[in-house]
Amino acid sequence: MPVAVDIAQAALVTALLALVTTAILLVASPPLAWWIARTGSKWRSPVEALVALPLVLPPTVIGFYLLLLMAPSGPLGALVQAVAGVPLAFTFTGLVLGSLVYSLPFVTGPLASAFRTTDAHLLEAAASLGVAPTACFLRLVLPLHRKALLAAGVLGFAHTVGEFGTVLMIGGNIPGETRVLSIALFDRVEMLDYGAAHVIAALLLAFSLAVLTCTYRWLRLP
Amino acid sequence: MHSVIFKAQLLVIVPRVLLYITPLSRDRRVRLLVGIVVLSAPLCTAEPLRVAVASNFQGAFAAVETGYSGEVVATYGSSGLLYAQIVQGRPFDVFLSADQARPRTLVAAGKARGLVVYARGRLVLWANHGVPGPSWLTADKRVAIANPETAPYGRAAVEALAELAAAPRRITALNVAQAFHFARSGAADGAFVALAQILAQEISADRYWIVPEELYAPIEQAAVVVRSGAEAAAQAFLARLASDEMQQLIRQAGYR
Repeated sequence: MPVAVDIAQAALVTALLALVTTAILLVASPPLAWWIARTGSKWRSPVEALVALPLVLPPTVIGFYLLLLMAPSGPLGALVQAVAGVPLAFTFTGLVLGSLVYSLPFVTGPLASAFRTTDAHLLEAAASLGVAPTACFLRLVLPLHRKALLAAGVLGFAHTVGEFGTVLMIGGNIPGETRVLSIALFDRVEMLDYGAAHVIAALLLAFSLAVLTCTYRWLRLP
Repeated sequence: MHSVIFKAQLLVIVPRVLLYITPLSRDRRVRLLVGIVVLSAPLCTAEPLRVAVASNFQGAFAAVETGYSGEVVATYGSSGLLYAQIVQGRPFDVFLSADQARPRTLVAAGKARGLVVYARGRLVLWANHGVPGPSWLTADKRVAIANPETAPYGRAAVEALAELAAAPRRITALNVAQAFHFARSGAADGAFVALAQILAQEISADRYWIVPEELYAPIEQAAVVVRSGAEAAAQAFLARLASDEMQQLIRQAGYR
């Protein structure tokens, strides 16, 4: 395969993976973060710890367990195979699942911190006006924290683009399906193909820098 | 790694010894110190031999290592990865590749010498289920192979697949060890690995198929002395590797 095609394909897979992961996380994380920020439940600390776990665990640990889980003989792999009739390990879907796990704290964490600062008076006012809790969350809390949502989304996206260890353990390096840019870069370096390695590394560097710069700029806008 | 731990231990031991000997008479102090130095000399002088070992040989290497007089620190990886590290100047004393091409290139570049073929590898198809063989390799099977660009066993697997005109879904692993792990975990249906790995893991005979050797270019595994230091010890290690006794051991491990 020509190098340019290989890189383009890996870039496409990477972008798609990050987009899908971020989209799912932006839907699933806000309720979870709201719960973490507001609850008095005894389960709060364990859940918080579980969410934050990928921050401290080596990605290889996550990858190791995920592969065993997603194998056709593993609990999750067997379930998906039975329900959908497709395997989970070494597929794009499996990679999305892995990304959801390791990018979760990068989205949920900032959101929970932001939600904690919500003005209680506003919530009381909304409640006294008869607004249901769900509507209050959707129409008051989320718009109030739109900057935090943006920051969380960007962090989740960028982190998914940058992940390497877990993908190495569960991806299987399939062109057009699970070969992401970070893996393609590793491959090229192993082959001593520094030309292609430079292109991929520069791409990732420029992308990350641009995304972070834009985000900081947006966050400063009134 | 070992030497780092050793140095850290010295940091603890030396002050204690000093504390202990200060109240003694001068004569006894000198004798004690001389005794300590003499006894610990073998610990300090022998720098471990740094050996880069292709992943397929990981199991057999343990057997080869046993009985070697000095300390050995082995690093495992695909031949391509280890080759790249040597080219970039990572200090190794010996390189056990899974092919001849990379050691040859190192010798030609003046980075290594003393090429010895220490093993001839055999490619095996290992299947988690079903009867492994050419007809097993259908398009719905997910088969792990080592990265053909960096791992000779991966290249051999690609050649064999082409010869058999078989096109299963290929899961690319970093090296044969990861290919083995992908199949072992159950995540892949099977894997192309080295016979030595199969034998080391005591996989039952009906679970693997020894790929006929006419289906791939021979896997001639060559070793070289890397020019970076302990030349004499490295030479001795290679000579030992080529000895009849070791060769017999290597053949028993699953090589020719």
